[in-house]
Parts: sequence; C-alpha cells; structure tokens
Amino acid sequence: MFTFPLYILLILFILAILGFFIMYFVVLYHIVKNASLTKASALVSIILALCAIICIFFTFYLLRDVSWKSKITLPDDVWSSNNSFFEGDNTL
Amino acid sequence: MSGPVITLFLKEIILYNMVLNELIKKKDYEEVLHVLRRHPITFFPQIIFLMVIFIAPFILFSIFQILNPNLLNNTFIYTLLIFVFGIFYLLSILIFYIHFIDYYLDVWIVTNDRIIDIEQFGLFSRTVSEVDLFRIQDVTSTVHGIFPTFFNYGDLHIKTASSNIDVIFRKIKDPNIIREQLIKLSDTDRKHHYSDEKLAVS
Repeated sequence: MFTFPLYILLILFILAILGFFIMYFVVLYHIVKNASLTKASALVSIILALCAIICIFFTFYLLRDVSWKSKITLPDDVWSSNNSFFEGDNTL
Repeated sequence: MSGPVITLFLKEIILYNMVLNELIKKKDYEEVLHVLRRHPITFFPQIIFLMVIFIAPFILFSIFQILNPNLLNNTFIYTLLIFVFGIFYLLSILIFYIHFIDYYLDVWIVTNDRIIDIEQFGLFSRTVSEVDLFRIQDVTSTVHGIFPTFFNYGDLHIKTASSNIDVIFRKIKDPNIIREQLIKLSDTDRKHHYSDEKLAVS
C-alpha cells in the first residue's frame, strides 16, 4: 500500500505548466531570432497562449472543490467508487 | 486610436527588417525582393488535426461515463483525469506550435544578388544554404495535384552550374511567376558579374 497527499498531483501539474511555458518561449525565441515575427506568426502565438491559459483556467476551475491535503492510498482508493475528498463532503 | 496602432505596425516592420538583414548578412548594394514561405493552405491539415485532438478528451470522458457511471464519484480518478486531460491539451498546443515553426521557418529569400534557403527541421535543427543568382542554370516549376492547381502552389527546382547544391522552393505560391522573375534576375546578375570580370581582366 502506498499513501500520498493529493497535492502531489497538483505539484506535478504545476511543473507541467512550467515546462509548457519554457518550451513556448523557446519556440517564440526561434521565431524572433529567424526574422519570422510577422503578423501571422504573432497572431498564432497569441492564440496558442490564450488557448493554454483557458485550458489551465478550466483545469483549476473543475478542481476548485478538491481538498488537496487529503491523503490517497493506492491501490485501495482507486477501486472505491464513493471516496470523496471534496471540501465540505463528509463521506469519508 | 490609429496613431499607436500605426506606430506599433511601423516598429514591427523596422524590427522585422533589422533581424532579417542581420540573418542574411545583407550587403550594402543588396535588395531583398522576395521572402517566400510555403502556401498557408499546406498547413491546413495540421489545424484540422488539432481540432480533432481537442475533441478527443470529451469523447473519452463520455465513453468512461457510459461504461462506468460511478467512475467520477472517485475523487482520485476524477482529479487524475482532469490533470491528464489538462496536460494532454497543453502538450497538443505545444506540438502544434512546434509544427507551426517547422512550417513557418522554412524560408526562401530572394535578393538581387543571391538566393538564401533556410530550412527548419523540428525545434533544434536548421540548414542554411545560398546560391549566387549568376550561377543559376535551370529553373523548373512543378504544380501537381488538385489542391496545388486549385490554390496555385507548387515546387520550384533551381539547378546551379558549378556546385552540386540544388535549391528547391517547396509548395510556394505562384511558382510560375517566381520562376520567370528568377530567370530575369539571373540574366541581369550574370551580365553584371561578367562585365565586372572583364573590367578586372582588362
């Protein structure tokens, strides 16, 4: 059995966001460095950045009620169909 | 309102030209005539693919719910699914962006003196080659298929006399017009080049 707090997933996701933005700026640097910062490339860059921001916003919006300090025990909690760690929920 | 927009537009042009001149190490007498890229329609399949990719998690989510309606009651699985889908979307956006620079950073610059061929492969691989206009021996344009004929794009093969480097402009817009202009430019440059050589000999 393996127990860990739910915020570990949150930290992993934040690391993924960081990785995304580092790579995003590497690509943007390539565009500027290669004299390709035109209206078309600037528009694509802005649209993709907006898409990423919307995606991150909705991820956190959907998880707004999760109690991050609650602990998960693997594999027991995975197979239990009614374990709830939402804040204000006392089913556990 | 239009003042700041015009200023921003001018700044963009100045910045773009500065970086372009630096990139090709532009000579004093040189003039950039064409900056050619692949036709935008050739990037359309990637846009369609991104749209399909964006719908995929919703379909998967629905399938999960149909197969096991209690699945989303489990907070761990719910949280994990949301995070996995979030990372999936971010990764899709990033891959699309890398495909975009692969498309957009393939540039063929035509000046009144030479042709510069810049080809980007992925994120960290790039080849740059250049050919003097007076060395051009043969220029062939090819338009194959329904879409290229309909949208008027195709390849332009440029063969040179001395070197074994053949430049290919891939899927550019109006290849026939560019071919005609290249032949004219090549003739003009050849005349200048050989007249300069004769003067140097005499």
